[in-house]
Amino acid sequence: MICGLCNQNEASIHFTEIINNEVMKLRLCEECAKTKGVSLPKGFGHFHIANLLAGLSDLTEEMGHPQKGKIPVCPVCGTTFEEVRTSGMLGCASCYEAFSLHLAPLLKRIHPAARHTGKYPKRLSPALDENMLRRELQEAISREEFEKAAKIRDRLRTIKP
Amino acid sequence: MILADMLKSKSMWLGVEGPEGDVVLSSRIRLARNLKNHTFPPQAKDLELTKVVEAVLAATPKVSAFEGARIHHTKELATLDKKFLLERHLISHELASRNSPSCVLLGPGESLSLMVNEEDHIRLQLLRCGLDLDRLWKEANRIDDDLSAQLDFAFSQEWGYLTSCPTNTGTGLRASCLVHLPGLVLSDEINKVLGGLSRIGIAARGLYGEGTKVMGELFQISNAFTMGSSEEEIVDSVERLVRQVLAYEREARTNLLKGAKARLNEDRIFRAYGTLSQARAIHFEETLFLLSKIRMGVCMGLDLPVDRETLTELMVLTQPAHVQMIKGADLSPAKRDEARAEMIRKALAKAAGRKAVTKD
Repeated sequence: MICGLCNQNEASIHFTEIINNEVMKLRLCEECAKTKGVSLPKGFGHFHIANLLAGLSDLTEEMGHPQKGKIPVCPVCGTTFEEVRTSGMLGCASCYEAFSLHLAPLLKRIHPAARHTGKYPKRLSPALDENMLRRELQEAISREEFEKAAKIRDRLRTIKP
Repeated sequence: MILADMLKSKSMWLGVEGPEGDVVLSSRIRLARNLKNHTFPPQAKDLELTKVVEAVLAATPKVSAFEGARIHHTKELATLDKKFLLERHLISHELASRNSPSCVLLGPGESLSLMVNEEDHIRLQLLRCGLDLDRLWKEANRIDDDLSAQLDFAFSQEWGYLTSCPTNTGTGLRASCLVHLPGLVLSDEINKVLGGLSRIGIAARGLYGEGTKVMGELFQISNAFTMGSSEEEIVDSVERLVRQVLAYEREARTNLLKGAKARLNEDRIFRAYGTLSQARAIHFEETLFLLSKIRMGVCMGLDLPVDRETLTELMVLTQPAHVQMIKGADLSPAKRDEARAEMIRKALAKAAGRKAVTKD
C-alpha cells in the first residue's frame, strides 16, 4: 500500500483509530510518519500538535459510518475543529467538551495518561467533588487499581475528615 | 525606561546563592490558569481581554502574596523594558510580543510574577535561587488556592485545568531548574546525560526557554507532561532528575582536573579569566562562554581571584538590555560591547581586591 501523505513510498506504518463507531485508517511511510510526528510527539509547541491533529484527521479514510459534512464547532466561542487543527490551540474552556471525541486520543498521545490526577480548584462545589470521587473509587477498586484507589481514598479523607 | 529602578533592588539572581548553587542556578514553578466563560487569549478580542485584565486586577488585591506588587501593562512598556524583564525571566517572549490587552504583576523581590493574557489568561510564576522546587510548589499552591477563591478557573474533572494549548492541560504545572553543566559539556558527556530525558518525561532547553539555543552551558530542565501525575509527583520527578544530573556534573568537573587533560583544562579556565578581565569590548555570548568556564573553575577550587557570587551577578548584568539600562543611554552595539567589557573589568578588579584582603 502506498503512503497516504506523499503517495510515493510504500506505507510501513498502519494506524487504525475507532472513535464513536467510526473506523479511520491511516497509512504512512516511515519518513512521513517522522515528519508528522505520528510515532511519538518529540517536542511541544503548537506546530507539533497541529501536525499531529492534521495527521490523524485529514489523511484518514472513513469506513463504516462516514460523517461527511459534519464540522465540529464550539457552541460558545465558535471555533471550528479545523481552526484548532491548524493552530494547535483551543478557543475556550467549552471547546474541550465540544471536541472531546477528537481531543481524547490526542491528549493520550501528548501526556502519559489523559486523566487529571492533580489538585482541584478550591471553589469547586465540595458535594460534586465528593460524589465524583466516590464513583472513581468504586471504579478503581473494580478495576483492581488499588494504588489509585488508595490515592482517591486519601483525597476523600481531606474533604471529609 | 520605566524599570530602571529595578536595577537597584536585588533580584532573586543576586545575593545569596541557593541550595546546590554550584550547579543549580535557579528553580521555577509555573502554573497556567484560565477563567471560565472567557475565550482563551490567542482567540479573544481586545474587549474581552480587557475584561479579563480587569477581573484579575480586581482579585489580586485580595491575595496577600500580591501586596506591594507592581503592575505593568504591556502597552506601556518600552521595548527596552520588555527586553529587561525577559532577561530577568519575569515575562516570556510571548507576552513581550503581545499588542493586545495584557499585563504583568511583579511581587517585591522579583520572586513572584503573574502574567495576564499571555497564552493563557493567567500564568503564575515563582522563581528562587538554587534547587528549591518543593518549597516553591508549596508557595505556588497556596497562591493558586487564594486566587481560585476570587476567580472562577476553567476546570474539568476529567482533564483538570483547561489551557489554551493541550500540552499544558491537567495540572498546568511546569517545574523547572536552570542548571550549569560545563563539566558535562567539556567532557563531551552532555548528550549521554540529556539524551534519554524525553523518555522519562523531562525536557532540556537553552537559557531563554523553548526554541532558544544553549548558551554558557546553561540548561533549563523541566517536566514534559502536565497530565497523568499529581503536582507533587511532577515536582518530585524533576527534583530527583536534577539531583542525578547534579551528581554527574560534579563528577565530570572533578574528572576534568584528573588525568592527561588536566593541565589543558586548567589552562583553558585561567585563560578565560585572562581574556575576560582584560577585554576592551565583548559580546554577550562570548561573555557567557568565558564566565561559564571561570565559574566552573571557582567551584572546582582553582585559585582564581574571583568569587562565585560575582560571576553569577555578571551573568545577569551583562545581558544586552541590562547593559543598556545600567548605562542609561541608547547605545550602539559597539558601544554596548565596550560598556560591557568595562563593567566586567571593574567587577573582576573589585572581586580580586576583596579576595586578596581575605587571603591575608
